[in-house]
Amino acid sequence: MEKIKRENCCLCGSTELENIFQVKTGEPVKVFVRCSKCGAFVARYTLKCYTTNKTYESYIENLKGESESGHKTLNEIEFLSQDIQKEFKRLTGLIKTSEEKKKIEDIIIEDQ
Amino acid sequence: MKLRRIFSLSLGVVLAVLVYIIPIGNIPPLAKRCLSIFVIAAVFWVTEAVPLYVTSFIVLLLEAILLRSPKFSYKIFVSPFFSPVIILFLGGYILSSGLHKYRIDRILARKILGIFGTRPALITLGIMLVTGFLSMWMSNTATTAMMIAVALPIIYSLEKDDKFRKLIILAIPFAANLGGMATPIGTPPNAIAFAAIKELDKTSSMTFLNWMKFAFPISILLLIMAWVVLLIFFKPKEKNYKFNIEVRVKIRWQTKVVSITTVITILLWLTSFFHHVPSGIVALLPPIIFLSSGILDVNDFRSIGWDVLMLLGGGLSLGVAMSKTGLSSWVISQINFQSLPTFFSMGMISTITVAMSSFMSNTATTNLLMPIVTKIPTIIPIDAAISTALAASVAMILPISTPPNAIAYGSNEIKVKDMIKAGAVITVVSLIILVLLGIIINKAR
Repeated sequence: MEKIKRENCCLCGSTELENIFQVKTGEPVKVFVRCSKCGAFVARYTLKCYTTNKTYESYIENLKGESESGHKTLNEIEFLSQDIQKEFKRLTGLIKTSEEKKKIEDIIIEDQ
Repeated sequence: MKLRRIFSLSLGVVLAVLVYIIPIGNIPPLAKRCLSIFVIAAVFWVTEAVPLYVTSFIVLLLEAILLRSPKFSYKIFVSPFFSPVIILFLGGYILSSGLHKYRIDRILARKILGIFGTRPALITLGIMLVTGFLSMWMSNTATTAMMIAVALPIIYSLEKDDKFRKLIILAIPFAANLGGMATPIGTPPNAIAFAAIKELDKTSSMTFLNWMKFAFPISILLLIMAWVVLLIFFKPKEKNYKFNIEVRVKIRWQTKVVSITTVITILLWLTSFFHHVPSGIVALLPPIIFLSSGILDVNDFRSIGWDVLMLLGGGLSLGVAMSKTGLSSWVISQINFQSLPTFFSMGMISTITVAMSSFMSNTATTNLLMPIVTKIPTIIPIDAAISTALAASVAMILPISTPPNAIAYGSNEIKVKDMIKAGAVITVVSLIILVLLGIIINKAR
């Protein structure tokens, strides 16, 4: 099941948010979300994989292990570059009509 | 499930069942059952009907069920999954993970590249030597990804129609493929050959250093040949280029520990003739140091190439099964090798290896061929093992031939035909060089 929701500030309700990245040696990268309007703390994420709009560069930056199959590697690269852009377009279209009313934390808990 | 996958799965099962039920000449009963397992493994490894490492588990399961015999316990099929060569590779992965996490690979690459001047031929040679050197110790895939990341700013600073862009992007995967030949941990096929040699001759003098004594010069020779071929095909526009290869080094205690451990581990690998500690045991050093000191954490440990280790384990296990059940000897007895000259047999196994590994995983190819080629009566088993392992690394014609090729192709800087024309020449010339060297070494004995 798929649910989509824009993040907003729990205090003022604004969707104008800033992502503050914390990169600390030996620790996973963390992203703190701050409300641009009222400055409140909104959420914190732990980053697993960071992909920019330059998907190929992101792929090679994140690749650290061994791969055994040329087929698989090629599919991964092609899938990543096409899929992220396609998915982004689809979701930005969908958010206008089917945005979830519940809070993000509730959606995540329900899904687990 | 995709139709292609269903077809591949069905094909493997149907062929294996057919082999199991159809009478085949004088094949011993257990060898016949093992042939069924071999067929299913071959189909699944060629078609990638299931992930490559899952086929290893299927092989183990089938071995335990079909090859039950009072002569041996199923445990002999399980033990290859944690054999010394798997530990050697595990150690190599941890080492590679430490080098990557603390960006020592990148620092090293940038520092070395900075000394190769402004001439495009020398810059390319520098890129190839650095890539080749790093892929001796790190995975070919990780080395390619890192080197392309280092090279992309250089590539993007060049004009769109400058062939130097293609030259650089192709030089990296080809150098990674060839550099991996030089050490037993450079690429999984080497490890399979290393294990096979140890298995065939328990008193074998094959050590880490002995492998490097022949494989390192071959690797350098092929690297230089590949460099020349690439320069012929892709002539850069300018005579001189000026790049600013930035080196920002932040030395932390972790950087120092990883660097020192790497140097000590490599030195211990190279001096086993002196201290007699097996290379698989030396390989425990990086995991113990990095994981106990917190340099690498449990997430780093979880993210190493376990799938490749399991794929290796499956191949080694299949090799044990083929040897114990007599399948390897039976297959070889079906071909009259005595009537074939040694050079022909050598050429044939190398060519088959290259042909197979051009389209499928190098490790899977070596897994399938190793138990058979080492039983060819007219070729010394060690020569056959080495030829197969090295030939698996020179197949680099297509984007799907190796993961490094796929990464380079994914950059969109080259077309398939660019890779095919340079890759085909390099593959064929490498193959000829390997066969000739094999014959010369064979005759010199």
